[in-house]
Amino acid sequence: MTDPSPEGADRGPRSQLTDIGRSLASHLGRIGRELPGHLARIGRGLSAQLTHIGRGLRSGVVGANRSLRSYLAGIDRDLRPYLTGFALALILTAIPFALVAINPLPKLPTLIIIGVAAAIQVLVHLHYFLHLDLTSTPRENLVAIAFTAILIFLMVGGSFWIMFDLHHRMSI
Amino acid sequence: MTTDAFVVAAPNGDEPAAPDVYEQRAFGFWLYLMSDAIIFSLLFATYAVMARNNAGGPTGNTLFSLPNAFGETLILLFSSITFGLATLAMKSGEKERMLSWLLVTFLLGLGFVGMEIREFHGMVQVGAGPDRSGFLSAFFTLVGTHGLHVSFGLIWILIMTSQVIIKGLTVPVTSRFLRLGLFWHFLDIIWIGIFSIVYLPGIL
Repeated sequence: MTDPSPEGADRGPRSQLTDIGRSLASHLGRIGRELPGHLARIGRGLSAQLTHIGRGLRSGVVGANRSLRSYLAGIDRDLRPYLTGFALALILTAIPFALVAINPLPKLPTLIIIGVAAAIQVLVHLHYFLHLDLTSTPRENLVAIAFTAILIFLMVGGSFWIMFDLHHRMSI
Repeated sequence: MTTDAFVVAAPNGDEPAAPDVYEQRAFGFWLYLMSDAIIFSLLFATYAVMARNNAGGPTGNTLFSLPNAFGETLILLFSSITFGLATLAMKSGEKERMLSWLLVTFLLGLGFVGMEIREFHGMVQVGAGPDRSGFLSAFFTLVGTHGLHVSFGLIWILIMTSQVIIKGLTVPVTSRFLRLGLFWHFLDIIWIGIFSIVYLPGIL
């Protein structure tokens, strides 16, 4: 029974050590057990914050885009072609008039720009005001306008050919 | 009789026949517009050939006024958009709004014709009438024909206005109104040609 007494005497500090060790282990174990949870929670919180910020940014951009779009949509889907056509027509009118008023270019380039602007504006009017369209306009209307274009080309082109040739020969 | 035939021939039953007839009328009117486009393009060709034959008389450079031409252009463009607004109001069944836009269109058209008459009157006053030179004959024929079309358009707007007031937005009335729209927008297209071929090169 000598053994137990030193053992018993030893048990005090040893058991304290083991207690410490055990409690340390249990702390470490708890920390070890809880750390991933904490980290995960922090990570989750962070990512939630980030996604929140990201979503906020995105919704801000989307919102701005949507508000512009809803503004455009608010002014009636049918009205939009008229307004687009009107804006384009204004620009295509302002350019040639400004060129003639300010006169920054030689005569020939100015005349060419006037002609091109006019041709584009005719197309703008046909599309946005007369609602001419290669898909929705009845086929016979398109055939009629194509035939008209051919007739105009032949008659106007032919007249110019004859008259300017005549003019040229008269002045020789 | 033909209407009845189309009623029978109508492919889907819920909208009996009428649309077919109005589609045909729209196409017929489209053909008229195409023929009108040919008339105008030949008047343009005549003008282009005659433009330099001023017989020693005044030229476009001294006769045409850039602000006046720009004003006429803007008025006609605005009348196009107000007519479009009247069309949209008609499509949504808002009769009052349609009539007020139609009134605005009429006043703009009247302003245009007024400006043109004042311009012509001023030219005749300084001895630059249609009898002065080949250039001026072609000018008055081309621009005058367009002005006459606009004037007839104004009469048509008045007739349409009274029809809308008296008959309401019935199918025939809206169909006529859409054809008037084609006519009115077409005249704006012709005007693009007039300011691009007559006024701007004349002033340049």
